[in-house]
Amino acid sequence: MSRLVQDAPGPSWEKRGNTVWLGCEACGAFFPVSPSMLRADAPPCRCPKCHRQFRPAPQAQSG
Amino acid sequence: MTVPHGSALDLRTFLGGLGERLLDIEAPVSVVHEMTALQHELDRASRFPVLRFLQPQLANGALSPIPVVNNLTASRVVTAAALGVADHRRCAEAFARRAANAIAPRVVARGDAPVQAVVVEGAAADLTSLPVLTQHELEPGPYLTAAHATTFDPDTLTDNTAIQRCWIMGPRQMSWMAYPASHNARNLRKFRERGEACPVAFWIGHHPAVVIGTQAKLDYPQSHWAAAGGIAGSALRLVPSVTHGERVMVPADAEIVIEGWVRPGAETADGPFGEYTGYLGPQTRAALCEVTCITRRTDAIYHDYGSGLTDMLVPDNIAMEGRLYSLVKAVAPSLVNVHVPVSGRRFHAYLQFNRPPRGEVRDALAAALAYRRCKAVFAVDEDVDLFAPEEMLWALATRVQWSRDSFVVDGLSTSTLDPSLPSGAQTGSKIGVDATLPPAVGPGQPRAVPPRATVPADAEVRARALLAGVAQGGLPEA
Repeated sequence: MSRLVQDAPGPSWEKRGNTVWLGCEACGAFFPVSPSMLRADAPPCRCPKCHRQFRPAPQAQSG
Repeated sequence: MTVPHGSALDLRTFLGGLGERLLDIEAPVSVVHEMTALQHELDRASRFPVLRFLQPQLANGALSPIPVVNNLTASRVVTAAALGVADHRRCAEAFARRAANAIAPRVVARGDAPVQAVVVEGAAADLTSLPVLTQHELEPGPYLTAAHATTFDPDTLTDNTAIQRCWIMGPRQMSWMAYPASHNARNLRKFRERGEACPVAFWIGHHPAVVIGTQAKLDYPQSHWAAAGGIAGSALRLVPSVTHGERVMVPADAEIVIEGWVRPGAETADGPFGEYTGYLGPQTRAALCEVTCITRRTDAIYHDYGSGLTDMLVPDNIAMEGRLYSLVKAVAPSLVNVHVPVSGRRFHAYLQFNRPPRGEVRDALAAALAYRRCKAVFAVDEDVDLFAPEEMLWALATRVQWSRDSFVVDGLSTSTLDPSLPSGAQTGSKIGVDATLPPAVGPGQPRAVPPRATVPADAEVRARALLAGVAQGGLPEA
């Protein structure tokens, strides 16, 4: 199953990372993805390392 | 140095006039990371030759007969000279003036178009035969980085052309990342809403004046061909594309053209990709382009931009300087120069003024901050060298009280590629800083500030003469 890593929201005065990292379900490599790639109508993500196409796990998807 | 502006407006003529500024590399160099690594090394050393790789080695180990040129516009001196601007410090006003004096393009027949000397259509067209670079780690494969995506507005038939990346995914399939705010993306959306496939052509390799000219920041819809002619100083020669005819014109003197379609709604994942910020942008949605035809010169040269490197920043920043000069000059007549430094990527702008009246600098800062990419704008006087970072920092250190002389505005349009934006933000926080001196007390009177510590001009001349007799390489650097 693909894995998602992202910073939790916090108060406006704290610095938080803004990048979502997705782990490939086949090779495990992590790569940054735009939130638009997590939408249900997005094309499949594509691992830049092994080129496997996959959709992020349903709990990671939005919209 | 003199770089000939050249009667023939094309890449090879420009390369022929570079002399020692062109570095030919005869050893095989891999298109996977190695060429880009050389650019990184040169950037770190602040050395900016144009690089021509005579034996590009493809990912499969084969040598390509098509040479690769990159670092074409890494030198500001060379890039300004390509525009016919003798002093690179004066690009802003020259660019603004020329962009306003458009020269209409000239259409030529296919037989008079070198870029259509070789035409490969249908199943024979093979993108993987081109020496396309994979630049950075974590990128999924080879990317066209100097391809000018060319479309038209289906409502007005007005052309648009802009450098946009494409990931080579197969022999006739590639992504096409039209940034959502771009004019090409607007055209693409219009075709999609009509349920029609979007015709597109990508041209690669031309004289730097044309490459920079087509990056002029224009309104929508507005022809880039005429603007490029104005900036280059002569009419651009165009030819109808093989696939789309006169609907999509391409430069007749380019090196390579890739033609194709985007079917309504055809999308693919694209990236991660090294952006101008120096960071990798995330994987995102992009159009999926089906390639129908590749045309090229018989001895074509492939042009690559080092993404996020000086090579890519210099020409676009010069175009930004021209646009900012026009925008700011309209509200601040005392503006004399603009610089968009490579160190600030596209986020910082420096404005220079000649004795601005009260209020005018703040007007100027506000106008410049309205430009989407500008995140921090700094205003200085004429005695500060816009092109010397230590002078800019000296002005900030000695002429600014932060609460009095700076203002922050939240919620302005910005580049969403800014890595420091909070998650989900569509607007940014921007700052304007007035590092000018206060106006003089009255006409002809000195400003009520301490004088700058200087030495007499004749003593400077004497000092330069003394140093000229010393071997500069023998002096300690730090």
